[in-house]
Amino acid sequence: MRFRKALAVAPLAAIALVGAPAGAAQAETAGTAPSAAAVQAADSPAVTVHLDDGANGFQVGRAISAIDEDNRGEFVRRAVDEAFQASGGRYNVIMMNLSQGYEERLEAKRLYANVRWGSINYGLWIAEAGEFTNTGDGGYINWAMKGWFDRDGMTVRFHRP
Amino acid sequence: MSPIRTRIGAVVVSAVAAAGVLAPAQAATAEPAAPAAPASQTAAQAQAMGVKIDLASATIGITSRIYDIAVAAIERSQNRSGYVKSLMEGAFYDAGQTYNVMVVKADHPYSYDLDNIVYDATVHASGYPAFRVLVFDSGVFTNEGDGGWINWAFRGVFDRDGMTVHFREF
Repeated sequence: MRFRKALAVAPLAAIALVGAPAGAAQAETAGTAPSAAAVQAADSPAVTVHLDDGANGFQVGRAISAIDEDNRGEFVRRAVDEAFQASGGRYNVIMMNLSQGYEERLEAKRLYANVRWGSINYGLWIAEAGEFTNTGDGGYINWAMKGWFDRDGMTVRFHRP
Repeated sequence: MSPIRTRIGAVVVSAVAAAGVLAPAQAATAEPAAPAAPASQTAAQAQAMGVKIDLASATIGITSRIYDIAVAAIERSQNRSGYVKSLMEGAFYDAGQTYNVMVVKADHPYSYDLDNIVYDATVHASGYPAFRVLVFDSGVFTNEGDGGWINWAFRGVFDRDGMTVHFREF
């Protein structure tokens, strides 16, 4: 399987990943008429890592692309959780729906990845500190964060553990 | 396994090969505008999936990464603003977070006077209009059409005056 080989090669450079197709098969064989969410998640999440400064980017990408989740809010929560764990549990993680407005003022950034789940494009940042403001919809399907932070309305201030 | 998946795998391999050649510190050094062998293989694979990039000029090697974004986007073609922003963020980080980035619909009315453009490419992805990706040091860009996120996106160091953006060097 050429796709499997691709995954095996990737660790050297920790670059782009497209999820293993296990999730697709399950979603397609669900039987009943698919819900909108199930249709959106019929393929695996696609992750492209564009910055990886010691954040274990390959593992982060692999972990997220392996998430088989039809519920969008649950996917966002799980993706942030997986990224936090895969990067060693020592950096802050925030994921945001790129179609919404946001102001990113993070510092000591360790990772950035584009994460596509169904038709939704998320940005995933791993950073040591800084601020992030959501100027769009603050629903849990649009953003989530994990780490050490104070939240003031729609602005999150991250700090080191 | 579907043919689509296999092709995606091939694109990933090529992207890794191309990116592996460039250490991050070397990203800003000159790279030939003509794509090296691995990059053109990426281009061929991506083109088979409906992605084409017209490279106008490049002194930084981020084309293979831009292909990745476009290939990821065409699997689902309903979210134009998300695609535009993913091109913007991807190009910004690929270029090392030291350049301004503008993504604009290629046939959108706009004008610009930009200094030291290190990357200029038009990305064609099936299901989306073509978008131009500009990576540069500084200058002025004016959007002369609709200003929605489905038509343009930019980030960097700038002052915005209505539809005109004044970018400063990092």
